[in-house]
Amino acid sequence: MSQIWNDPNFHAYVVPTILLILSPFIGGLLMGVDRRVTARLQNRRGPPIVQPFYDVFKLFGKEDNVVNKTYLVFGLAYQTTVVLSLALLLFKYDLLVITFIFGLSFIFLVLAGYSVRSQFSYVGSNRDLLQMHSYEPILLLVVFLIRLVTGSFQVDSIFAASQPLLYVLPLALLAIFLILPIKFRKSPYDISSAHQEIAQGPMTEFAGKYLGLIESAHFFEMFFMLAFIGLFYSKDLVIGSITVPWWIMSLGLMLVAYIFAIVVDNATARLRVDQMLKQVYIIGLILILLNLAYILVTGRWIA
Amino acid sequence: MSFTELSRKKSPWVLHVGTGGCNGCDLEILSCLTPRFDVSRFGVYSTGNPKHADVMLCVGPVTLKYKEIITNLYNQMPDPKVVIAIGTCASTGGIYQGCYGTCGALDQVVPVDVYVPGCNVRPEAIIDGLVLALDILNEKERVILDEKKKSKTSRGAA
Repeated sequence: MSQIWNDPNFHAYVVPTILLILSPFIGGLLMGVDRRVTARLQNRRGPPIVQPFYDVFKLFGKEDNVVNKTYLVFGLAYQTTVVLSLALLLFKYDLLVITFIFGLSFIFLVLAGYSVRSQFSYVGSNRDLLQMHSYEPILLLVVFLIRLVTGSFQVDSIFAASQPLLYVLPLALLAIFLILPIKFRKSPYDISSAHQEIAQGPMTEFAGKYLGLIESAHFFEMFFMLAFIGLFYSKDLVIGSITVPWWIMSLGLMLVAYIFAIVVDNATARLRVDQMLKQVYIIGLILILLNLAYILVTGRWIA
Repeated sequence: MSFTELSRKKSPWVLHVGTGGCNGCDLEILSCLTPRFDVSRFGVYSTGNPKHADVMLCVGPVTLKYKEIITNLYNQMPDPKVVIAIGTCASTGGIYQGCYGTCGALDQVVPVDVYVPGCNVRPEAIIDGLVLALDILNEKERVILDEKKKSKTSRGAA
């Protein structure tokens, strides 16, 4: 057993494959727990935690009214690119490529929204583009900062670094937390899919199993963001004689992010697009600049 | 019961349509979503989008101007779908019965599966109606599948 555990091929290929297969289930369960916790925070009982799976399987059993074929293609492209970006992250590929492909998935969703003649879809896509406009620079700048301190875009170099990223880039992690509600489609930045306001945003015209596919893509997205945050602590923590393995620290960081997203979702109301742009740009850029100054002044290169 | 049927029973997505009533029943539907009655424990999720909905909650006598809109919404909902008439106005026409501006009742316009009378309806009654509708959803799907099979076999014979 320990022989398998120590085998580098096991960590490089077998573990990511298992995680990739399990990721929709983990993401779905996380969403279910999220809905349950939200309900409890609002003093309701809430749906069972397997509710997202019920939703998706129900959608697969429904009639699908197809408006035109273009948006099906874009919807499918959205699903596949999300899965692809998650796979690249789990198999430790280039961080820059991962971010771009993840951004591409967003673009496909926007194009799907533009390819049907529904004004809700159009408004949702416009807002989605603005959201992308606000979060993508922050995410890219964080990736550049990671490149600056580790000396490489490869995910492996984060694992090979002398210190976990959290010690060097704490403010960059805060900037990621800032854009987390955008990627989770939660308050205060749930502007694009604005529940009850503009139907469902870009997903408006999807029905039946195609909507089910889009819903399951959200599971992957959730898992992707959490896995990305998990990169910020990828070293064993040694306190005296006790050694905490890196994956526990990683999971702890993911849990913090997850709870942060839920609490913020319940504590805030939806903002306007211009408010979101201002907040994300100003706070996010200040955090990143401060972090850059911190690295430059203390000279903490961890390559 | 297959897993799809189970999940269909567990996750009704609801479309709430007000067709020109006094807004009393609308408020009772909203109070269903509050902590006291919380319909979300049955997996109910209120969408504002007919293409995602399974259940249509209709409130109020259907005014003549709303007739076209409601048939449109009904046709946009994917099968299997269920329509619930909430309140006396939607079920029978209520105090608007025979009025020149209304169609009489909801079942004059679209086929209604569950009637929940009351003026206003109690939230408990709405929840009862919803739970009744869940069984009808699966029955409807079975009928649709049977018809498909029949049309396939008849086409094969021809």
